Amino acid sequence: MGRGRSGIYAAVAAIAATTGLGAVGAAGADEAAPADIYARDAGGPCFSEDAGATQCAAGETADVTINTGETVTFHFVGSQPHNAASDSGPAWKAPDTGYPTSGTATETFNNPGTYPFHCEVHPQMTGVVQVEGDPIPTGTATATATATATATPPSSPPPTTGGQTTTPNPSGGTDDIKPRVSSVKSTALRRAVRVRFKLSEPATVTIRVKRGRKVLKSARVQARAGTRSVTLRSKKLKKGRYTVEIQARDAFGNRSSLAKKRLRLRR
Amino acid sequence: MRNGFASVALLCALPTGGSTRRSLITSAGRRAQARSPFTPFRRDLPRIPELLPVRRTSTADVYDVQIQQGLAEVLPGFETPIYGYEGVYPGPTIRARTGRESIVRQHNTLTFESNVHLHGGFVPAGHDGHPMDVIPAGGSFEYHYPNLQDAATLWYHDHAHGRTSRTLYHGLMAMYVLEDDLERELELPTGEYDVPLVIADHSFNRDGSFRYLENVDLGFRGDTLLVNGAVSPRMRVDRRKYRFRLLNGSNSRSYTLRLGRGRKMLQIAGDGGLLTRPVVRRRVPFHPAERLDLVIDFRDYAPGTELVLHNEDGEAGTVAIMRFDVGRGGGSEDFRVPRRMRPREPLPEPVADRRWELGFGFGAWQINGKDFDHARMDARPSHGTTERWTFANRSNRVHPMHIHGFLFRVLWRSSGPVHPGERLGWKDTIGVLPNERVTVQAWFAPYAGKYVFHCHALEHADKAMMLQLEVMT
Repeated sequence: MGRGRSGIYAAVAAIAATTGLGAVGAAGADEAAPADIYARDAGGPCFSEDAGATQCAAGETADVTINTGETVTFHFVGSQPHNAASDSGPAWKAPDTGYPTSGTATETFNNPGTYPFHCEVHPQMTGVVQVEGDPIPTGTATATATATATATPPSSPPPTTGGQTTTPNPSGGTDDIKPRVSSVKSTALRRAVRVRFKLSEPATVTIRVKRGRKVLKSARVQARAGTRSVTLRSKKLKKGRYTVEIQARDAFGNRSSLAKKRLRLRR
Repeated sequence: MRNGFASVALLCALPTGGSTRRSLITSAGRRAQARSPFTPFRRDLPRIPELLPVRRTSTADVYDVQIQQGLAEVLPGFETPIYGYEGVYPGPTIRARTGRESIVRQHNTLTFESNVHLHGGFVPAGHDGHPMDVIPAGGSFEYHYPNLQDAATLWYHDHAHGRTSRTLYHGLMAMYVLEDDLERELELPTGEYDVPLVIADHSFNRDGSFRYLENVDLGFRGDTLLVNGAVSPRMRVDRRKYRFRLLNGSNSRSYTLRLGRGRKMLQIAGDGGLLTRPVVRRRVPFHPAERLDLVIDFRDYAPGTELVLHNEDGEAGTVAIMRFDVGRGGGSEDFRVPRRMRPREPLPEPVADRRWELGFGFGAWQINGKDFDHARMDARPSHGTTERWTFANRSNRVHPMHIHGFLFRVLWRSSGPVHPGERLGWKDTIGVLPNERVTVQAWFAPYAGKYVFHCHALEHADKAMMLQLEVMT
């Protein structure tokens, strides 16, 4: 979203507001017009639409309606640091960085919709900006948060000093291929079992040495693809017959089938 | 409450669609609605996998790690998207030995930059994970960890500037256990009786994914405790001594650990390795990024006892950390925790005193009124010297202060005597309580170069509470 953008679009918006040419969608009780919101501490903290009040009412929030292209001005009249940041959707912040304790910051909305916001320092301070009217094309990038994936060599610095880079949430991934465990060989040692196996992709491998149904020793390793070898040692592994079970699970939850091998410890 | 009067966390765990913050329902109310995935003690404690090296040479172990996305099963029946080392949460543990180098090839397959910091390790400056030394998306870097230090429980995690509060929350962290000959001589519990425990607080969305709510003032507070990636799990233990390596992997929540009703726990090690002697603890403050090695002797309890590890600073879902179910049998054990563990090395006298004021300045959290600026050096200690650093907390939030690459001894706290568990060993992270002053003696050895020091409450660190230091030869 453009923010405080001067030029033809702001001028059009200003004219439209004063002559009532902006779209009129009477959704709320307010008439759509450029709005002022006050970030106040006393009794709160809260966002308030009331310029003259000295105290926040209990549970007070700001709910303003503007036309597309108009500007919301945030006044920082408290003594604590505040800002206004979008809850969801296209990211915006007023001001872009920092948490002022005085002065104002503005945000211009060019697209209709509902824009809930909160203070990043005090998330219980909330408000909503309702924007009505037709979208105003801006010709500049919209406010979708883009991660700054730079291809710079390690020593050159990305933007810093208070600037918060936006990190996307993980989205999961779509891997449906099950890992395969093959060529399982188990070797009997003294009070130990060495298991060698071949793994088709990087996976978490669980190896269990059992006697009947009782697990005597188990190990969990993270292995890369290829032939790997794990030794399980325990004083409980005396002479006798054992079963070795191996199962692999890859990073996306796909499990291999259970591979079993019988083995006899003679010493 | 440690965090000042406004620290009661009310977090909406499962939001409805739309304006979540307009109708705040307490987390207890939400959890009552969706009881089953959050019921504590339903799952057994998951065992963190150990990373297998891809190659072993005569002097080093070589590991290959991919920084990638993955799906973890945190809530039973749900899949949680995570970022993880090799796509698992918590990441695979690297077991290293003193004197043997570990070479870790990290491949960044994420869409944004990342890097790896070995927290608590003595690492040359270029391999320490300075926030400006990042691996770009799609790139790789080979980290060399000399492992020339005493045995300790370390951990490695992402340290890209401005991203850590989210990447660590979504799972990009893992343990790194360094062992040496002294620990082997002392015959401390090993194998399945040496258990790493990563404790972190999270919140969840209705689909089981992690929910992150930014709170720059207090730091993130989740409403559910995860240990090794499971909600308040239970662990079946034999009646013998166990060594638990606890890591506080929360973004910024501090805990006070208590076993049962104040049962005895023996602390044998802190951040920087073994203490000079074991210390009995019944109530342990535990701040983000700190490590605690506790030996618990389950012979003191009858078979069938269920012993809960509590967090005294928690509320609702953040009180019960995990439960130990004592099994049958056992009861006879030769091993006794030795009374003298690591000798205390003499330190050179401090050559300088520095004071760091911690507070919320204009726009962000600051140290001495300054933000993080990668072009500015804020301290230039000399290599091989020690200095007395005092952290003065001018805010009413806890700040766990951490220095990269070096260890320190805690000399004095204004809130009272320094507990033996902190005084008798080395530390790299110290929780500075509200309005408290803490003096530590830091030793700037063995490597020189550019490092950083910062508050390890990740929301504070990302909003600029970090400064640079350069150790000059």
